[in-house]
Amino acid sequence: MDINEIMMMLTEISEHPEILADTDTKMERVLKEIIKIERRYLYGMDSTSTARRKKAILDFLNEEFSTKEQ
Amino acid sequence: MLLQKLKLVNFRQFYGDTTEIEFSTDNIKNITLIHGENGLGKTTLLNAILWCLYEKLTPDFEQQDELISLQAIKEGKRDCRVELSFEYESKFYLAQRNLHNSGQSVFKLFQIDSCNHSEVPNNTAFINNILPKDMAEYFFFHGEGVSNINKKQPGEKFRLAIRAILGFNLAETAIEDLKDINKGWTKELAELKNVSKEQSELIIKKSNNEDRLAKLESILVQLKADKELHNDNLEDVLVALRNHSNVNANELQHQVDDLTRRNISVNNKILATKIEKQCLIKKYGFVIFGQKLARQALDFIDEQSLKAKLPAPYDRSLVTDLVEHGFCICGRELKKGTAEFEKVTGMIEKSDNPVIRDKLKKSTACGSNIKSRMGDFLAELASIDRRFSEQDLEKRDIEAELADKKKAFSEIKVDEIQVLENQKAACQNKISSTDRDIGTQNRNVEMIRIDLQNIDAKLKRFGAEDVRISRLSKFQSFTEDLITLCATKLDQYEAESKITIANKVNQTLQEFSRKDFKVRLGEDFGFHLVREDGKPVAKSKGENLLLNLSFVSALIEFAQMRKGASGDFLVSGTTAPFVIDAPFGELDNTYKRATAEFLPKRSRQLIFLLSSSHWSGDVDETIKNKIGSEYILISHKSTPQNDKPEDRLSIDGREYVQSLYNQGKDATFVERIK
Repeated sequence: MDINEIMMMLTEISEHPEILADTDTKMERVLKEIIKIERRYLYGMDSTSTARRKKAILDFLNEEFSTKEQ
Repeated sequence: MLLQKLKLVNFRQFYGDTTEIEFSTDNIKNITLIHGENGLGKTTLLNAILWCLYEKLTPDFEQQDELISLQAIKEGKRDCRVELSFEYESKFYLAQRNLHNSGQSVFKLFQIDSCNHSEVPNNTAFINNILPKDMAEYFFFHGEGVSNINKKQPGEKFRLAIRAILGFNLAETAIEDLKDINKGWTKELAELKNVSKEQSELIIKKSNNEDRLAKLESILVQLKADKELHNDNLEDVLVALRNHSNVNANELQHQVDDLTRRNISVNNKILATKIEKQCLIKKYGFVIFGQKLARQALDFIDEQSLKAKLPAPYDRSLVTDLVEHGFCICGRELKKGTAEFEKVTGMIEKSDNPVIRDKLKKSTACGSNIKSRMGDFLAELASIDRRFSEQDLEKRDIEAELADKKKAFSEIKVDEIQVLENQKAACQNKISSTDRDIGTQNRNVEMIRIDLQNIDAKLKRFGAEDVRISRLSKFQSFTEDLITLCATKLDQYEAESKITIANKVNQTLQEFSRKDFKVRLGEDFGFHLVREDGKPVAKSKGENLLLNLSFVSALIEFAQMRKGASGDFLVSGTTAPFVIDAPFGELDNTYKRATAEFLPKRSRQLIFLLSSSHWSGDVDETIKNKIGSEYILISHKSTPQNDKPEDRLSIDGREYVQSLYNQGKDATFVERIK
């Protein structure tokens, strides 16, 4: 990478700073949802059995896959 | 987690239910100081916390099976209890562990909302989430046992415990859950792949069955064709039989036999009729033979009567009288020898007399009788003859018919009929046999069709399972990617955390250690002192204690820093207490002062359990402005003092006697220093 390329990148960043913002990939979004489920079942009002927590994750994944397949 | 209050009931030397320690929760004065000489119960207090939360005791805590106060046991008490109140995430909790004489301890955790106590489910998991059990010995730190900690390899459990403190629990549980889910899918996939094997076998079986079915159907077609052929043959034979003679030979034979029987019968009848006729003739023979004589006699009589010759027109007595008188009525003399005499005498024989009249009468009656019987005879004879004629006609008919039948029968070719009959039987046998074969093959075909239907149903399901395999493979791949992503992120956070924690420890070491070395955190969070060149440094017990305290306090500080963070992947940081029994025991004065300086800065809540040997003027000076709560342990002994020490301690100009003798009881009590 030479200086010109760096300058071009900086110019682009100055014009479009939003490109620096983290954007979640689909995978990250799904993972965050799973963590939310974990949080709800581990520490939240839904904290019950491990089996129900796993079922909730499984249901979410199935729903996610179904949407993905569509 | 901020510890609020500890209450002990009959726990070891803390007899009764009066032992209560309120920990300082103040931000500035964050130190709780508990003074106690050796054997008075400092380590017991540390272990009471550990036991309450984790049912765990430090290794050097002796007689671990005897947790119930001996004094209480003497008084018949059979249980002990430790209660620990704490605050976590702005909520208040009461942890309570009871030990009964049976040796079973019961742990309960209540969330306290105003006056309500609601029991927290999964209490052990909840506590472990706040402060993992595997990290407990670092947060509830037994300074005098540091050498034991130092000897241990931290290992994976230690690493996981630190990761839990760092807030990895959610993501790590997510990884474990995803792995479990994936395991389930993997298992299902394996089963489905096994099923695929079965599917292949079924396809082969189906193909074989279809071949068998085709063969059987071909055989069936052939059998049906054979049956039709046999039916045709049978029909031909039957037609041939029908054509060969209109009458069945057997039937014809029966007819012949019947006609023969009828012929015999009619012959018998004819014979009987003949006999009857003979009898009739015999009966009427005299009539037959006498008829002509009778007719002639009657004709003669009639003629003679008509001629008046019969009876004679003269009476015998008249003639006799004439003869006797010798004179004819005409007057002539009748002499013997004369023609007149002879003539008149001849007339006597022909003359009428009763005998002749009787004979004539009888002859006439006899003749008439014969004539009348002849009529009867003829009538009866006519009847017999008529019957005979009928019988004869019948006989002729029978004989004619019999002759015809015999002729017809003689015309039947028995051998050919027998052949045809044999053919007919053979055809019928073949048809029956073919019918049986068709039935058998139909059953086989039906069975194969059912089998094929079952196979098709299974294969149809397999078709769905193929789709499932495809989906599961995608799920599995996606989940594996999720796990990898999550693990990568955690590894990244872990690496960053290690750097932060190591920097904090190094900062402490740089500031307070005499030696110029650094800490290096290993893969398992094991911390090692190294020189600049990276080579490990041999460390003294004091240095080891300093390193441990630095590490735990850095960890506590890091967790505290992350308290407000609300990451998407990590659990927010937490406040952790740091309970240290004999924190300065292995340290020299310089290190004591250094430790007393950095620990309150790094920790939100510090609880020091100190004996007079740990206490020094330097430490006192360093921390006195940070002490929020202070207690002293007072030991009551039932024994006399003799030459035993009173263990006096001077705090803020006030002197405390820690060992009281002749108290009637053996127990330790706590006294708050104000």
